[in-house]
Amino acid sequence: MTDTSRETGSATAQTVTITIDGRELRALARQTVLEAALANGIDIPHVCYHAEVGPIGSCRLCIVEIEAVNGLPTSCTTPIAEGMVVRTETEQINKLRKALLELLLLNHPTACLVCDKQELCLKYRYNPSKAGRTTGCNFCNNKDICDIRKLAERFGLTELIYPPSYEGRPLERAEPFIDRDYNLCVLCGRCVRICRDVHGTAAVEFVDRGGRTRVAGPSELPHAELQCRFCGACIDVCPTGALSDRYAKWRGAPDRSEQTYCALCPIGCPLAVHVRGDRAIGTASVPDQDPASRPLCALGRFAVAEFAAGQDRFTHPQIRTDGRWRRANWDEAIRAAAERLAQYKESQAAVVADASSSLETRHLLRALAELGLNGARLFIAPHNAAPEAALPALTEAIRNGQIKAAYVATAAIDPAVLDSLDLLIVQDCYPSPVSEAATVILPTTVFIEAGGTFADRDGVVKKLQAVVPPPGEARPEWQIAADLARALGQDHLAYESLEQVSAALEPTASNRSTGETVEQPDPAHDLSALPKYFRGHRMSRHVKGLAQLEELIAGRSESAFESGD
Amino acid sequence: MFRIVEKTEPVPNTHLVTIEAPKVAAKCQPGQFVIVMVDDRSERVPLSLADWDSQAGTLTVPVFEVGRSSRKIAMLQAGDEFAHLIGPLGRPFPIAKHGTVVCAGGCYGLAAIYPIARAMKEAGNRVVCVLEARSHYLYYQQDRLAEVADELLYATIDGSRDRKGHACDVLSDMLTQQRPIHLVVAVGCPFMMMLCGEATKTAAVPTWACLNPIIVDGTGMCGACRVTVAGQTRFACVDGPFFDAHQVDWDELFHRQAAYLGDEVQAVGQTDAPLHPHHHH
Repeated sequence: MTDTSRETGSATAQTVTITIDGRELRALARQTVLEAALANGIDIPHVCYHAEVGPIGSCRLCIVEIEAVNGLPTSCTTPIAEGMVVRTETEQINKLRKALLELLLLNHPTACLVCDKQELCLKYRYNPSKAGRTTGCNFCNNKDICDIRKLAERFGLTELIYPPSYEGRPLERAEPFIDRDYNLCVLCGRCVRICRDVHGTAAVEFVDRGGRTRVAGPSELPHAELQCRFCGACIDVCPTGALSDRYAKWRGAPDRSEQTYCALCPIGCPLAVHVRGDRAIGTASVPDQDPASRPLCALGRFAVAEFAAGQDRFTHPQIRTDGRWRRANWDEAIRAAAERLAQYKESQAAVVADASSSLETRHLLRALAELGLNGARLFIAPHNAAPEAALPALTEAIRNGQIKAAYVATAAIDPAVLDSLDLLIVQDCYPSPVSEAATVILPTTVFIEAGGTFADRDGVVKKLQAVVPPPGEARPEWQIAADLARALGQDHLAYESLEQVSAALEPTASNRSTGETVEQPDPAHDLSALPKYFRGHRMSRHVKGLAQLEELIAGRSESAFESGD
Repeated sequence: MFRIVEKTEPVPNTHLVTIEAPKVAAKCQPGQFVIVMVDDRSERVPLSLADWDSQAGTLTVPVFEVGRSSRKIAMLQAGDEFAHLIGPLGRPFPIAKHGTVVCAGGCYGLAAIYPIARAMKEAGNRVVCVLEARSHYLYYQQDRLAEVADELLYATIDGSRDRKGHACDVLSDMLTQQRPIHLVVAVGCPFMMMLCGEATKTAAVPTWACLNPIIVDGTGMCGACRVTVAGQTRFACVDGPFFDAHQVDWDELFHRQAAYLGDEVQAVGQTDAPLHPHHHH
């Protein structure tokens, strides 16, 4: 088959018949031998090839025998052709592959692979080692998912032919989000290629030549200044522990990956949440999506799990009496909130929602203001708003005494006017100056813990999934609002399930649009466009890497910082 | 404050820290340990002694980086100071003439076995040092050990130097060859020490292991370091750290060492690292 025929035909429809390991298969004409094999469940060993970055034929582990073709071509770079007969495992191939792997392991700490007490070691030392430098597989952060380890096991490697060497390259773990230990790197180049070829940046590249080749930034500058936008794609394609997500690093392999959307900003990117046990340990862009079209921003890739897992999350309701906080159960807390709020109906009271909340939550909060509190004023704190500037009209109304009581589901309230309120009921996930001024605190979920829908900045409605349980007794916002409505005598708002609330939503334009359709800089391509606030909480106070990133950006803000094109 | 006069990373992940602590250095004996705190809020970290110099008023400890607190130490440099250092703690290892004494070390134990090897040699023993490492590039301080040992035997897990295997395999070899061993002292991770104990159990060679449970105060008050030896609860800090390897409840030790694992994993990523990392060489 020639290039011309591949291009003229309908590429998706055109298939050819080939034989791999005696199996006759039909495969897409544009596929390589490796792609056709993988698509048919034939796992030809490979390291440098990755579906998202394409072939370069450098590791050579995917060599195959093809009838009427001289030598052993790499299957990742060989296009299939009608009638092709391929053998992926012969004695010669297996011997060569093993030798290639042994060479690959020369500079990769692998002692554990050939240890004769591996089984016993795993029995006693199954916990993460948290070592700074990895000197053996069982003590590596990548041990559960390492491609190299799987290959060594597959090839039955029991001894190392060549004594390994250790280059002693410096650990890079001072920069935001990503730990880099190039002593584990096998030079597959996946990170270099996904950064350069797929995302059009070049934060890392091959440096030096021959035996001294290594992956590094093009200069000694921090990655944040080397066009790195912290999309994390390099980590996702790395076959070793060389690149790791610092937060996820020692938490093991995820049990499952769940799909939802990121609600940290109104773009609402599709998000794969990696879950282990009942906790999110990391996030990634959704597989099967064109990786070039939608890299995650630093928030989506690195902030979601850490923000949700903060140790100071509210985990149970609290009531303040005589200046002292005490733990309360939900019935008590709801009753206390309702009794107090009932004294401030109509224009004296305000209900404050957050733009990041689900449509269901906002619907209930609006109904609660209109009906439960007889026409209390409703405010919606905008996305990414600093508390001081979030709601000037509310600030003014509190300051001049029009509003005396507030039920707020955000921390984006100017702390300067909190003293002027007689009553403050706070529904939130984290402490803030607002919750410190509250009478009742109602602990709530973040978006990966609650279902519901939200409208993105283009007005497209997206469905959120509860992929992990909330911490402690925290409850979804819609449920808290429904319980409050019941306590305020509005039984028709006392929904029992999220589905009931969803069904009650009117598909009106006001519900479905955030009104933010203006062209905005994309945080996935521009670090300075990363939102700083979520529900009025400064994200960098809860996510260590964001604090480091802010420091880096601040450090060079006076110099000529190019924020990306 | 306790100033660091020298700090090196002789092999990946293992650091040697020499600290000014004249009053402590004046009293150290083989087998003892100290507790350090990097700053006023740090965890208290027990560290075996690699050596001390009462004249210079310094002591040296090996630090294997395995979490937040050891990482904080790993990131210090000469001239930096520890907020606190107490010691010497624990019972000194009893030094006597036994005949042939095997000192087995692995990981940080390659450094920590030295004071015992030296004292055993001075007491007139024939001293054989068995050094275990995952690979050939992980040995350090073997020149110092060579000065006090009659024989050095190496075991690497990947077979890149001498015997492929662990220290326990070398012990088994020696026993199979009917070479005399009168006493074994093992210092390293619990796994290594446990296997050494198993290797000598049948031959009933007295074998001592330097237990390393979580230790908080180091003076017998808190009980965090309790271990079970011969069915009895003992405190590693004041009754040990050395115990009969044949009688230790190793499963319990492994279990108790992991008591705070979740918090440890949470903490390790929160540790600040300097923007310009120290170079290994």
